[in-house]
Amino acid sequence: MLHKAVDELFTDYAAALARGDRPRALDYLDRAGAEADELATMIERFLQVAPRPVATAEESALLAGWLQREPPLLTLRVQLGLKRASVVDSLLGALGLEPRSRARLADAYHELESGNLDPAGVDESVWSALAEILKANVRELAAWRPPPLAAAPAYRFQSVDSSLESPLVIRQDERAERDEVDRLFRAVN
Amino acid sequence: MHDARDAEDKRLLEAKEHTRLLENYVYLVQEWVAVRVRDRQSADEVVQRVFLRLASELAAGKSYRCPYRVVVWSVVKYTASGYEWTVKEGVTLPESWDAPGPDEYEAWEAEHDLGTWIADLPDRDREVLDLLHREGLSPLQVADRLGISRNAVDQAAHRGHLKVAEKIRAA
Repeated sequence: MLHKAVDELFTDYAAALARGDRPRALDYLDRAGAEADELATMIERFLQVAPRPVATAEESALLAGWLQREPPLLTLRVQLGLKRASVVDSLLGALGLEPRSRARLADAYHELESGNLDPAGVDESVWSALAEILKANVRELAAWRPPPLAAAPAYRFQSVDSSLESPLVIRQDERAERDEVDRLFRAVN
Repeated sequence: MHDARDAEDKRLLEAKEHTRLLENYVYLVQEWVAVRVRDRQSADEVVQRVFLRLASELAAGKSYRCPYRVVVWSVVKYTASGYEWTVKEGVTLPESWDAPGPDEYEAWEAEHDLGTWIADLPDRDREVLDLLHREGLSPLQVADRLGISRNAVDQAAHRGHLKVAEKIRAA
């Protein structure tokens, strides 16, 4: 890649910043290929000299999550004064799911909100619906994981095998709804 | 160039509005760390460590002799140094450390001022970059302020950013 191409990537990045967007350097570095180091240096220097932007609601929620060791998606919802049930109800409507899927949807949203669900498996329609409901780009917030702790003993409870408690027979309509919620939240087809 | 944001940081520090102060640095820290660490998962960990460190210092009442952005940058640099590309052991920010003092900071500032970098641009390009970055106006607001079209703003910004790229490369 020539200097010119790296310069174009740099000006795209700087222009996006000037527009008030939040360009992500890693996306630009991916596009720079072998010249990623050069572009990284340019972006780093530019970010040292350019005045910092003012925080967005998502950034406030992220910080709160890091400092309080709480999931920022939860923090954002609380800041908005929304109950989880109302978010789930709104999601149910926005995603066009049947009322009988509500409990499974609530479980999936709880997992997402608490950082226990891989955001990579979440369907685009869910992100769009949540962006409308929570008035924020929540995809990054959902990627939150608990902050690293200083070395300390950690214990993990082995989950009890619940296979015997699971219904042995799943009705056809339940299976269909399970598949739909899984498809939306866990990339399972 | 940084005066307005530095003054706001100083006000927030004095008012002990630490959360407000730190949240304004979330994007900047994420990006500084990202370009150094490159790996998204490690970068997330470094960013969280940076803010936990900054917050604990503020809570302990630590004071600084330089603008807060210099403090943030210093903590990012130290914290990321253990993670650049591969995790290395034994590189940590000492519990007791000092951000740059006034003399040292002056030299740093001379190299880190967008105003200096754009000073010799043609008037229109300089004005546009100044309003976009220093005053935080949107391109449409800049167009209104200067009485030019949005397209002219974009073109001036593009020329200006290319010039900045040249200066960074030459530095």
